[in-house]
Amino acid sequence: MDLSFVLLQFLTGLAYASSLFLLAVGLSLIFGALGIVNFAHGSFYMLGAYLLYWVVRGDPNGLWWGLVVVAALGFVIGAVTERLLLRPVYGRPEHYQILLTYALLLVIEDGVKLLFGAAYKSLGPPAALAVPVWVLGAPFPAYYFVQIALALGVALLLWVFLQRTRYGALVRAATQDREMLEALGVNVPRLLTVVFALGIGLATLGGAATLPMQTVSPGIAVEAVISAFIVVVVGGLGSVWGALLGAFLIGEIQAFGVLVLPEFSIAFVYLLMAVVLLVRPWGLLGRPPAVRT
Amino acid sequence: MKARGWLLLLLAALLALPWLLPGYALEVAIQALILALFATAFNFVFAETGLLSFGHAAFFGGGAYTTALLMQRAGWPYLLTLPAAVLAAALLALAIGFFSVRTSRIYFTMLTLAFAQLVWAVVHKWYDFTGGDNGITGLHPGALWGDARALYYLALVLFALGLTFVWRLHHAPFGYALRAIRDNPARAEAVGLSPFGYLLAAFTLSGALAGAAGFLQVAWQRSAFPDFLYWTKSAEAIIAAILGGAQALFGPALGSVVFVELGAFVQSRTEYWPLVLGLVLLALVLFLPQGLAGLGGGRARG
Amino acid sequence: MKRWTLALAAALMVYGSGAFAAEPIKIGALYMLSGNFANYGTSSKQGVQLAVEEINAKGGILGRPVEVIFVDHGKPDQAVREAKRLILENKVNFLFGIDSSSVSLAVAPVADEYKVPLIVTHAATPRLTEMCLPYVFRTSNNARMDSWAAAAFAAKQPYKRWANIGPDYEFGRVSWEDFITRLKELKPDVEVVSEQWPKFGSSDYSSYITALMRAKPEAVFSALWGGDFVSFGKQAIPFGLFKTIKFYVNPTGGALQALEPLGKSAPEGLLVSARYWFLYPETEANKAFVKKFHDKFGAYPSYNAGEAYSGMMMLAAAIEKAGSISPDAVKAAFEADGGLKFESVEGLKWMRPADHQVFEDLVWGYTKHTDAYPFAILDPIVVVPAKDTIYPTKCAK
Repeated sequence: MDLSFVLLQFLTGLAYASSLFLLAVGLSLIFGALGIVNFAHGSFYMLGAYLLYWVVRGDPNGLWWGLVVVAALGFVIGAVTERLLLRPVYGRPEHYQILLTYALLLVIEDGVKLLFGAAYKSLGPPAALAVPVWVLGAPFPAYYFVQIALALGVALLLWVFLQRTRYGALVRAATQDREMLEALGVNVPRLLTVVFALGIGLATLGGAATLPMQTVSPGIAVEAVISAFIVVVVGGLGSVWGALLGAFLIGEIQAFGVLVLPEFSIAFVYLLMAVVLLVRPWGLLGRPPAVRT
Repeated sequence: MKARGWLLLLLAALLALPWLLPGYALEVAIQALILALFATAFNFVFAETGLLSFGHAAFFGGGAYTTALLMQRAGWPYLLTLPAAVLAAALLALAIGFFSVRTSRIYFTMLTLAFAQLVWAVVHKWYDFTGGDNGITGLHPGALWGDARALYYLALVLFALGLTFVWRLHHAPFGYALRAIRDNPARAEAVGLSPFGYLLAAFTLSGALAGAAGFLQVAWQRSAFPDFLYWTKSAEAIIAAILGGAQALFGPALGSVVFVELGAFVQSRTEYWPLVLGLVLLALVLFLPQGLAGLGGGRARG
Repeated sequence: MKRWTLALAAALMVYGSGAFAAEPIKIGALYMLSGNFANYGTSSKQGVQLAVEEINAKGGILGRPVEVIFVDHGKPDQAVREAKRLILENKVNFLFGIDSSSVSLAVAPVADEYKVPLIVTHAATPRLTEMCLPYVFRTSNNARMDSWAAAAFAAKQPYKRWANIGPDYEFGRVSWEDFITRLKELKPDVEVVSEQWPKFGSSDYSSYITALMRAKPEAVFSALWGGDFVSFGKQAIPFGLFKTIKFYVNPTGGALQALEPLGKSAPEGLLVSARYWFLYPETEANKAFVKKFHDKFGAYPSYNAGEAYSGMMMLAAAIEKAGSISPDAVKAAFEADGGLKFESVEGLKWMRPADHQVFEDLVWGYTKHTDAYPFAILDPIVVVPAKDTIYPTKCAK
């Protein structure tokens, strides 16, 4: 196997991993701070692609500001969802939260169909990126570098936010002990709103960022949320870096699995998940649950 | 005494139903009974141990595929496949439970979901054995069970047996042990109860019952499809159980009847069933936390 | 809702014209109206709506108005329940439609059990008509015929190094198997250099595309369709796939559902099929159909809308010929005289009596951009005569 091809395959895996990371990181973040498994996460991801299609009005060059607008819209939608729907069920057992987010999945699926119709929606990459970049003599879609850069940028900003800001420290603390934060006088409800809104903003951004290379239709949410689950199960529920590692592993396994056994390349992903589940059920970078609660 | 009177009346009504309902309503009633058995199976683990399984579709589908494969490949008569379907589902539950029941709460939910998706992926891809995404079609359960009334009674008997089984377990030392583990695992362990063994046993029994529901589905549908094992199938049992009221013995069955009847009603009128179901669930979670059983004063199971 | 308006319209017509005193002929139409492929189901439904409107305007069938009840078939279990409802509650005389192959395989035995004829207009798995069920008919071509047609084109090309990229499920696998088996019969010196099987409904094809290109195929066969075809196309273009290979052939790649989202970015020169293409044949009948369809729904009829329309018209012809709606009479009408031959807007359809599979000329063409349409059209169109797609059947007659 020649080096340039290995590099090419590595980059395709990385591009796929980038969209997986943006899809899954919010799911993990929300679980970490709120303890909620968001079954509607894939739906917000899908909604992001529709929103981009809607705000740029078919103009591929509107991508740049479109992404910003969609992420902001996603943040607002997330904040409103949290305040109106999730907050009333915080004190209740997990299954109410699961049911609630599952209900959101159903509503959003039909909602986008009512708003945007059932046809596939598609938007090309911006003119400047519609040409291939040459990587060691092989053509590679320029837009994928945008996706990779976006994912890395988000990861970096999240790191700065969580590790280097006071508010980020509070978010991390919320994953450990909410009561303690409350006792310290932190406005925990607002903190939770911010985290949920951030998670949803990232999901809509991720969904929107895929539109130049893919297509969107009402059914993609169910597939997307399962992909997100696989990523966080592998990486570790609640761990941002786990989502990064999980997305990277799955993207690359897919890219190189295709070469080894093309017929079973999807099976490799499930195989990875199975091995992780058997060896470290809490995920590669997750924390083992200390005691049964 | 009064409760027994109502129960007898309900039983009489259920027995008379096939002779009162027109053809299609009876078909829907069978579907409701199948889901009732499936949801009751799921709810046994959920109510007694607090563990929410998102993987019960694997046991439902496992039972269904066992029946379908035995009928198609070995030519077994339909009814004879029941023990095999239950056994296969139990073994599958034993295997998945072995790795899952050690973890707690949401991890358990995610693990069962992941394992069930793994089983789904195998069934979906293994063309030579399971028929892959084509499923197994053209399975006629024979003259007797092919008749809607007979199938209804078979489903009713299995559902009643399942419910009785769950009720007996609830009142048996086994049930007390499960609830002790649920409420205070540390103390339960201190008095010598092994959470792992008890939880695994409960999960396996629950999976076995779900397999019986899958067995029934094959006769009703005349086919088996990978969708039986997809995660949205698990969601149906969860929705039915919580909709009806997970803490009431009849809750899951009540929820199943409402879910199936509402689905049949809405789907025949509009393709926006997901939207309707979503709104119903939102209302349920926000305004009716005890489920429909909570409307009647929230009588606890007993 | 639509169903009610349609029924209402039919009812009003009955009163208005006073023509029908007779009881309506009831048809239960099952289409995929929700989920990922809802746009296919929706346009199939429109085809049926237009056909029924025309039939009723002309006085119905056998002097009886036609009433269609549309339902979403969803997944197989929902479809079986809805089929039973249509049969038992609505007492429909015929079942009609079906977009998904797995749903068709699940519903067919049920229709057969209740002796309600099922007329399939879209689902394309060859297995449906290989079940040899007496009351199941398909009025559109199936995937095998498309694959054979593709193989006939491929055999005429000088290219030997072939590769496949197809959705990893029944339709994708059968299409490729039929194609390559047939191609090797016609041209024994071809060689398969790569097979790629992305998951059905995938969004990311890049690693499959690079792996495919590494094998340096001269020609590629693909059975990707719908949103899969759109995503694959968008990713394959910047990888330069269509420039590197010399020949690309894709059954149903000519679906409007796929060409419209790709718009002007669709590569030119791809050989794709559409089971029906709105610009072919250039007959008055077809032009009138396209115009009426466009006036009514604001869109060009997709291939499955055309097939749904023609399927309904063909069923109407069979009932007229039978002079009755009894299942056995209609079955006999489809089978008699060497099989029903029906002149539809898309051309002649012949129902093979043994397996109830329709054979018809298949429309293929090379994608090309013009000023007249905002998406690629088929130009030139290449037609594969029906006789070249006739494969043997095991069903006895």
